[in-house]
Amino acid sequence: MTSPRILAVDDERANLHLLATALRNEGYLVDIATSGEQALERAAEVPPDLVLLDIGLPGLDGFQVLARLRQTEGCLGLPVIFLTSMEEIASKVRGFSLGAVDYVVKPFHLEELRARVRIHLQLARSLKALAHEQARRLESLVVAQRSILARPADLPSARFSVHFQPAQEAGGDLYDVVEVGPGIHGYFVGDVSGHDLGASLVASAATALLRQNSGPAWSPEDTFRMINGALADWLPPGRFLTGCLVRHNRNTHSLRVVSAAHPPPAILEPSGRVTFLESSGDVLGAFAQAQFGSLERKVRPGDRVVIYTDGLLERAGRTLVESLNTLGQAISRLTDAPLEDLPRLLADSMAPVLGADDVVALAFEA
Amino acid sequence: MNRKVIDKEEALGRLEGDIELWNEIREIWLEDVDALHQALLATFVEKASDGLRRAAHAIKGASANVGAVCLASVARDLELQAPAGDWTALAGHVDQLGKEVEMAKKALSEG
Repeated sequence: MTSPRILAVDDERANLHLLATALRNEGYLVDIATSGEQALERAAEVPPDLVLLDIGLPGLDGFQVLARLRQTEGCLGLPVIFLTSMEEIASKVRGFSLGAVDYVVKPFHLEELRARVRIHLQLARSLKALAHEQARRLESLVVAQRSILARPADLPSARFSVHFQPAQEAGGDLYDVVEVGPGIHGYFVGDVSGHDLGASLVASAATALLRQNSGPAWSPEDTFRMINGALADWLPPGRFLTGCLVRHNRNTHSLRVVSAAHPPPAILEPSGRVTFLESSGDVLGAFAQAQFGSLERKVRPGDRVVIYTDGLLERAGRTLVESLNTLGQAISRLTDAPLEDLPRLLADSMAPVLGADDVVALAFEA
Repeated sequence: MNRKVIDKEEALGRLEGDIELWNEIREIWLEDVDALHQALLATFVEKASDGLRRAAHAIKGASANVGAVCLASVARDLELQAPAGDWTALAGHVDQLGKEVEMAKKALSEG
């Protein structure tokens, strides 16, 4: 195990010598700095595990150094102990309010100082381990929830296939397929803003809400309104998702499409003709009173519907019409592809144009 | 060592009886104290009250470390009085501090 590294900051030589000697004798690695500016440079060069910081320094004082450390990536949780001959309560309060973990008044007893250093190093290590464990559990949760996403083999009557390619472990794209009733299925594709663990958890939550609010008693618009109501209550500002839900009724050969600011799904006819089903709508989770566009149309057996995330749309410098035209041509070229291969082949065919991004492409056959 | 200019026992107590370490910081103090004192006198001449406070603070810290308790005490008084800017009163403190510096130097030079 590597020895903890301590940065001792003091402009007084005798004090620095005292600290360095006492701590090195205990097995710690000790770096020293004699000014606030030098302390920040040292901390940036070799991040310490703990800082002993004098307040009365030339140039930047100890308070200013701590404030800057707290804005430095990698130093946010760094334990800082003020070591100073300033005994005033106001000075102590200011130090703690800036995030110091302890305040030791000079002249200090070596034994006491070492005990404080030891306990704060242990505490910092425990907090780091706790944060790591929480992140690991969240990731496990995400992986577990992803693993229960609908698979074509589990729902053969839905006659679908999917290509799900998160660019990162914690992506925000999602899909699901639910059986609404005999011969009726809902196909959902969504995209949560952001590409972090939070986005991934929102994706899992949205999937759970979709399942809870799907059934013959709910229209697709009702389903979206229920999901929106729950998410708008819960999501922080700036977090939302776009989504498209297509309900296919094989008994009536009809589609009902509801969109929340999501790219339009495409119908691929056996002739190779591609039609985009465009409807406008607000995003999910941003406003309590959101409106969602919807449309209905008939389909014939053999028609295929492709729902996707904007990872499949090249937008930079192009209009939506141009981007859809490119995608439509790519879909049309896959008219004869087996259904199970269509989403993957579509993603592959668009990859040279788009590069790596989160991609969901879901296709089903009427 | 009358009037206990240096409280060596107290200093050694803080250093867990490490006489070698105390000797090392004593030597550093002896090397640095004249510069610290001169810096303090310069701030007094310039009537720079904040500089005087800082200089007194530095002498207080360094002296307390090595056990120069009387000097540390006078430096502390000067640190507290400096912000008021009463230069007549401060002159007495500065004079007293100079005498304590010399006594501490003499005592610490003898070990």
